[in-house]
Amino acid sequence: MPYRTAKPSATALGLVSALLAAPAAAHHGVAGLGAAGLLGPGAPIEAATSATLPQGETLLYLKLDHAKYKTFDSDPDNLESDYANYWMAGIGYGFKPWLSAYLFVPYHSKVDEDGGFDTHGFADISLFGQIGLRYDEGLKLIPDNESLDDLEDWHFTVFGGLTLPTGDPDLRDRNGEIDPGKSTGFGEPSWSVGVTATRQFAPRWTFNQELSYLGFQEHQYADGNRTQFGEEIRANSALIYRLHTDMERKLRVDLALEAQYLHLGRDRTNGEAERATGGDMIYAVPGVRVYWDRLSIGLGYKTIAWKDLNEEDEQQGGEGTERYRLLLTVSALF
Amino acid sequence: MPTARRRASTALALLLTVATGARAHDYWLEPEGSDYLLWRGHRHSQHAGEALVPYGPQIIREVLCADPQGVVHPVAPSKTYPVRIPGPCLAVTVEADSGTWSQTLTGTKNQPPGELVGVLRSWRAIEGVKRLEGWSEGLARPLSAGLELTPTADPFRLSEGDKLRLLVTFAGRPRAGVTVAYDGEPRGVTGADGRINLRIRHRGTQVITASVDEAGPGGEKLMRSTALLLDLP
Repeated sequence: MPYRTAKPSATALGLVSALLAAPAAAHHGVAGLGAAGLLGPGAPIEAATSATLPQGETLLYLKLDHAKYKTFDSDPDNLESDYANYWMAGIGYGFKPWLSAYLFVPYHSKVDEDGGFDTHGFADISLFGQIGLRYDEGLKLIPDNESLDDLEDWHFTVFGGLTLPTGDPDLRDRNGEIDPGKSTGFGEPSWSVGVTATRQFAPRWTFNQELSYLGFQEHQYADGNRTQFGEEIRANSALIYRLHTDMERKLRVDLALEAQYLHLGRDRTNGEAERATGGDMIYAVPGVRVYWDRLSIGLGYKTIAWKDLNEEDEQQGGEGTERYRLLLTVSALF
Repeated sequence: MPTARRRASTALALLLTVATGARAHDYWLEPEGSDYLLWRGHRHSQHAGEALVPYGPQIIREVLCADPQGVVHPVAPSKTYPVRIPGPCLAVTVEADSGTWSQTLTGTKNQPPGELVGVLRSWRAIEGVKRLEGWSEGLARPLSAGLELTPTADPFRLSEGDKLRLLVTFAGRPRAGVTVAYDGEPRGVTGADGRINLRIRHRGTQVITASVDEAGPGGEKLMRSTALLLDLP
């Protein structure tokens, strides 16, 4: 079975990461939008933050993760992955100041070089829950009202989620073969857990840390083969600098720099470790985020800073072999 | 728990307060001997204005003094400007009703709009100030019935970076939706429990101010404001 491990980084965890980065205008119960959104902690472009949604408020979210891959072989008969577009639409709701829930619907396009095998379609939807905490003379649930000074405390979240196998795991190429890496579904639920820590340590500076784990279950495809994707472990650090604030126009511009460590476990096929899968890498993600009223737009450029892939020469089209990734997020709070 | 609409109105309240801050004067109490002198002007607020804005002593509605034993009692201020309040007090509060103010094209006047032309907006101002000289457990409760800022624990134990935990009350009850500022910079709005936390940024005189707009009798806009002053060594 010709495997490529081009499973998106915007899998279950990526969804929540992207989402949680969004609600800068959504800081819970604060000095009002005018102050908290404009002067409170910043958010990374992609990594998960410790911001929860305000109680009773709804977040709408859209993300595009465009991955452009390096090609290793100039032979026109050996077509390689060219690019992928991972779209994500989401909705979140604040049930409590400390409890938010989200639903995401992804749409994936995985495109080969001309003449290759392209796949497009809705992928596995995912559900997430998030609990927010603050350290203020002890660890406490996020209250319904925080001042700008409260927002300078360490904030944490614990989150977890799962995907549902609503995508199609059995897409066949023109030879009738199934490439799990090109499918738009994993066939089985995947699950993730994670924690975040965030601290606005100076009026213009915010530090953010995310640690998370994403696990997959084995799935038997229509051709009888069984595949279990390798686990994903992320350790994402970010520094955010508040560059510009215009209180009158409710406008804020942040610069963000993320260092994203990703460990990919080796995939297993029919119980055997699969070659050309897995490895470790660090992405650098410089970006900019603009807030305007209740809208937030983030733009990031994601590139490999370091990698140690298991069989790098054979992992074209997978994580760690991107030429670059472009991230665009748009979110609005109602 | 605030709903989305409540939060939106809170945000609006903050913005309005920032905007209306230009209409407010600062009141502060300066120790002189064992007494206190009440001044008005623009010492702590972010907006520009005359350093001292004289007032008539008749605007004073109530002066309360918590004596060193913690007993709160009304005191009679002097009838001359600046008003002198006899001390010593562990805490002293003053409430003033400076009447109706009108913003015109040529400046802000302490007159009702009916007496002026070109009035852009007007409001009635009820202003308070509280100064703490020391601490007793009784001071963790509001002293007056006006808009008041009350530390919930001994603030004199705090250092830079510590949180000053405040209760904002009106008529002795927690008051939501009040914008609270530290050194003139808005830091938050009180929730339903009337509480808000501010961080001590420096030693010396701490100036915490709060204000809220509400509809007064006859539809007149009523702006209540108050200040809390204390010196951290």
